[in-house]
Amino acid sequence: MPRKKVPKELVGLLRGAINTFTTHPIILVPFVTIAFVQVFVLEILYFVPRFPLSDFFNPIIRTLWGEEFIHYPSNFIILPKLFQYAQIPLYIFVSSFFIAVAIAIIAAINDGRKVRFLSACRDVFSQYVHIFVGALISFCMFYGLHKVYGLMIVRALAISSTEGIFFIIKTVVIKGAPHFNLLIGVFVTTVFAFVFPLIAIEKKKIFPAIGLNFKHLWGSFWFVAVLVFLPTVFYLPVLLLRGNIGGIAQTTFPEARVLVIIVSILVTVFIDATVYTAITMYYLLKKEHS
Amino acid sequence: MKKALVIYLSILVGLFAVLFVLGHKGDYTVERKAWKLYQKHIDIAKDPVVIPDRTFEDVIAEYEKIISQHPDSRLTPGLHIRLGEVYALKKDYAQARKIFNDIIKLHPENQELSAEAMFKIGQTHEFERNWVEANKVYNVIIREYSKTDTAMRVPIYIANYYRNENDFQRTMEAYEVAVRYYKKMASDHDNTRVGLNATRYLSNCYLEQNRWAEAVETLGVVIEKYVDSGYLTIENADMTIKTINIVSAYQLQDYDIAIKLYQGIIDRNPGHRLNGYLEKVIDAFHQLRGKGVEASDLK
Repeated sequence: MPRKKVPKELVGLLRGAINTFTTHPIILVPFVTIAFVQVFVLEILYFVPRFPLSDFFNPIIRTLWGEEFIHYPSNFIILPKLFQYAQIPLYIFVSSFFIAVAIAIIAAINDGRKVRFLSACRDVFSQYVHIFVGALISFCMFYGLHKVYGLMIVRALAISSTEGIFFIIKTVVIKGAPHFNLLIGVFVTTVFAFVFPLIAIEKKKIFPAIGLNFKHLWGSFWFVAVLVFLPTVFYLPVLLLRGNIGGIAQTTFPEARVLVIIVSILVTVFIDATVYTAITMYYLLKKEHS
Repeated sequence: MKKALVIYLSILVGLFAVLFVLGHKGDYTVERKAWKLYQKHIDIAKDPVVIPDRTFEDVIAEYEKIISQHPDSRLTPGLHIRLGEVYALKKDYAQARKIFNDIIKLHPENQELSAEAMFKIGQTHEFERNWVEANKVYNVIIREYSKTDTAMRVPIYIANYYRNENDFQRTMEAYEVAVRYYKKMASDHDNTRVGLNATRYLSNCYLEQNRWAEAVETLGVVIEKYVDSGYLTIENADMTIKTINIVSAYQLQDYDIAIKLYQGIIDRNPGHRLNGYLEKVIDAFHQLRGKGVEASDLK
């Protein structure tokens, strides 16, 4: 019997995803938990220059970055960098797990089963090792592509043209860095789009899940890419804010840098909720049609 | 969802409250308050004439509040200096001098702080156009706080005062006094931070008097003697080398002066930390020559 083609309605799927988590707010709990952990870490970093955390962190910051950055207001210059570094283990150990929990919750709701957050966590925890390895592999891919882009920037800096096509290329590569990093994130999320649903819902191990992920992705790569890209576009205003944070902090107050990070965390909650709900719904649709 | 939000918010607020309470008496809190107040201080200093008295009083009251709330903080003596500066901006020089004198009485063991407070006293006399009294104070700093950074900058400060007053003879005399003073300090405190500061100020004296050859020679001593001492930062070493290059090229119009200086350092100190960099600078000069760009062509 020929397999039915899954209808690819981008806007419908995205609208459906938003409707789903607004009518079933339990889906948002894992993403809110991720945000909570991130804000928790941010708070710790905010208080790093003060007693008692200063006793532990000041020698480290002094050695790595200099005396200046353990004093007000220069500590806020380094805080976004510290938070960025903290994001790496946070994603690999924590966020990926809760994304998988959210996917399991969506699948349970789709099946008409009653689900609670803690029971979903317990259920998904059995797959933690596979989720961890999956997150590690996707992070390595992101990091590798980020490094390749870094090499492109180095090459672009060597361009001496002040007009013409090479100058345009140079300007785009150098000034477009935050946007290209966003696109790299979209690409990596797309490439591994179905790994977490396969682990959380089908209880696959990591390497079979990666293999099946590419099988599912075949024929629908660009659809999934646009599905991930569209909600991510809402992060562009945050990028604009972050790009101008130096001037904003100077004109207003140094703590503005922390506020921008909090805004980025909140925006990311809704982007991630939309993206992963949409991906999971698409996966479940494909499963029903196959 | 609501339950989760309430729990998470409670934890975050609780953590914030605990960490805030634990750290609120520390130096960071003083830094934060002082920095915010210092922004107002800077605004006043831009044009104190147009600032209403009420603003001065508010800033003074805030400084006094921080000092009374954190009397034992290591930053409090510095806040006293700032308080005195605000009185000086308000033209209440007597009160400013009283505060600076109190600092000296309260912290006699802190030579650098006492020297700075004395310097501020001298400046209040200057603002009152009483140079005689100011000069007396500055000479006391040189005598009694000779090893401090403040005392080190006083001789050249005095020379610059006469230069700004367009008193050519006194300017030259002051520079001669400064040169003798810095030479003595450099020799008496060789290979110490004081010796480094004295040598750098000596080079500044020569530069300000357009004594280019002596300036380059003195800067060469800084590079040769003090790079490995731990007192000269990489940024300052870089700036020193750039100054030598610029003076040699543009003022003396002779690349060979810098080339010979660097080559001499390399020959006398085979293991010198900057030898690799100095060789690159020598190469760069040779390349300029190779391209036909002579020092005499530079303007």
